Amino acid sequence: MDKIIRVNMTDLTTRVETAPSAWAGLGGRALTSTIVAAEVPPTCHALGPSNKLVFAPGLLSGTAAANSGRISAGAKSPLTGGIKESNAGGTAARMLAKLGIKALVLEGQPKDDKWYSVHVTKDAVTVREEKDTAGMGNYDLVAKVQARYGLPVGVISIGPVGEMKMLTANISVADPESHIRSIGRGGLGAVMGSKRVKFISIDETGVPPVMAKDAAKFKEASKVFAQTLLDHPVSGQGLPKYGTDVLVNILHEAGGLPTRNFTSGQFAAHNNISGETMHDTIVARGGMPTHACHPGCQIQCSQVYNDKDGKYLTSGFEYETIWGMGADCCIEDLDDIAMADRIMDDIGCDSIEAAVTFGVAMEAGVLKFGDGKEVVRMLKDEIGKGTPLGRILGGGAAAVGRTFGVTRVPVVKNQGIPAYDPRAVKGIGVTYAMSTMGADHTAGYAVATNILSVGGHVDPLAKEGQVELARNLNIATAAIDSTGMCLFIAFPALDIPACLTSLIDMINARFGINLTGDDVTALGKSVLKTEHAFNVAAGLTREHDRLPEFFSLEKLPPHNVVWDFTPEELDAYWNF
Amino acid sequence: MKVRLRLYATLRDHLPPGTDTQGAVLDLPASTTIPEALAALDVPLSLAHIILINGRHVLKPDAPTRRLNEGDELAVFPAIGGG
Repeated sequence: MDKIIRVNMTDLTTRVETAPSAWAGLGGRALTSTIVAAEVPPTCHALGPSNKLVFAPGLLSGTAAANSGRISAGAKSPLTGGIKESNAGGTAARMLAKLGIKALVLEGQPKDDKWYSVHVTKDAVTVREEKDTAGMGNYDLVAKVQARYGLPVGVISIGPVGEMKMLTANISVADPESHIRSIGRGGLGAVMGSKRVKFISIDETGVPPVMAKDAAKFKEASKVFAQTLLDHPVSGQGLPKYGTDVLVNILHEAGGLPTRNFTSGQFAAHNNISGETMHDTIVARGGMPTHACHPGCQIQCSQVYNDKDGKYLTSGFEYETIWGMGADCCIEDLDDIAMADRIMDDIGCDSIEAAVTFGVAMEAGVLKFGDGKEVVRMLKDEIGKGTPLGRILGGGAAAVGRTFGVTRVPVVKNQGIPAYDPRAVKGIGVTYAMSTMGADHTAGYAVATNILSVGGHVDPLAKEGQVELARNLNIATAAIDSTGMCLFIAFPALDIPACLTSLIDMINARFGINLTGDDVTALGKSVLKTEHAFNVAAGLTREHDRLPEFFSLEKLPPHNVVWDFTPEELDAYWNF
Repeated sequence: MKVRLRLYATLRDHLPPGTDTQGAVLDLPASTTIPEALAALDVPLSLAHIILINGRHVLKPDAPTRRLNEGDELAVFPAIGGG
């Protein structure tokens, strides 16, 4: 049975519903956005009782399909003021899917100030008061929860930043080694904190694997699909060996690596923080350069990074985090950045938003560019403890910019711009401006075609073709985000036709349906239009679909380019 | 003429030992092509998925015949990705 679990945090009741037939073909982002758009008043306060926080595994989660273990979370974002979907790996998606749960919805809000947990098994969903876990960091929390149940239960949790409802708060998802993956963007951890839910635990004991309606066809398609992931040089070789941080050097060489709060496109110390250096460091210290963030991941772009003494320091050490604390904040010591990453995972803070925030704070003079030790201290002792300064920093880049009178504040819809300068990688700039999510590189990763020569090539410094590229990628991504698939399947999908056809074959075999490629495109369009309509009703206008003014005024070295799209050119994005 | 060549990711192994982050300086005849320059370090063009000269991408069809100029900075990558 496909179930919708509703947890009412106002009266602490739970109920199980059969998913309506209209939601049968929806999963992941398509389902979270559909539920949020249907049930959340767009003008509500994102941290109030009317908002809902929806978790949904993807359409293929729980099956044997490679890379299908992403879990989506959706709500009205307290950061952007619009709809939000963000997703992560970990074990939760597979477990929820095996339990037949299409979505778990946190609704309402307790009137008291107690903390609660939600425990999900095949037999029941239980809300329990939490007296000894509030205030805990995610690492200790996951260990404590798994010890409580004596099992490697799935854990979806918030750290102190989420408890304090800061807008940089993320939601953590335990991975197969009980380390931390992050539903990072948009302050969804604050929404979970507003529901007073410290964690959700999931016990999959006693449930069989998810079986496809047509098992033979599914098996055949999944083999073809997995082979395309192996065959493509990015997913089969580049990502496993160096992780996402391999992007530091190419963005530096292309002049699109935002540096010193977006004042240059190149970072002199790029080699110190590159994927190649990280790989060599990990190997020398006995870490794991290759690691899966969720069961069944074949690409394995994650890693385990040890400290100088060979002890575990962090994992899932991603390019965007390293770029942000590195180039954007001018921190040259990879160990300082790794420690910052560890702390952000533990306190439950989005590493992209935090890095952009520190770049703005450094420009404001709150701390010095390059001072990695002070970043680590501020994360731990200011943001992590909720001091007045910590609360300002924890409010994100836009809040810090307003507080300190900084005009160079790289955000769209208040959400920090990630690791690719839109002046020198114009396709991703269109995505930043137009995405329903605020500045989000994953919403339509035009970097692939602008910089990485995947899916053809569109000149990153020219405007021609960028709006169409970003539109098509945003549509495709909205569909992929609904399958439970890792977005990195897009690399083979852009170059190897069998990747996409086998993906559709797997969905058809899983559900006994007959989707075509056009149906998948239609799903992506429908998701974007649903999200856009919510945003418009929430008060986000065309004028919010723009980049900050400084990108048009300040030339970015070394190419000395500015952001030069007209409003009309950008608005054409919605012509579909 | 002198050009600077930087190789990244798996291609790093082709750099002479001790090459610093600025890359290898190659002393080449005038009008050397990209494949000829890469051959100086035993890098086949087929492994050069992304090529930039002075920060600008060289399109794949142009790479076999594109000639280098004095002082050019050449950066070469295998297929890589992330995000």
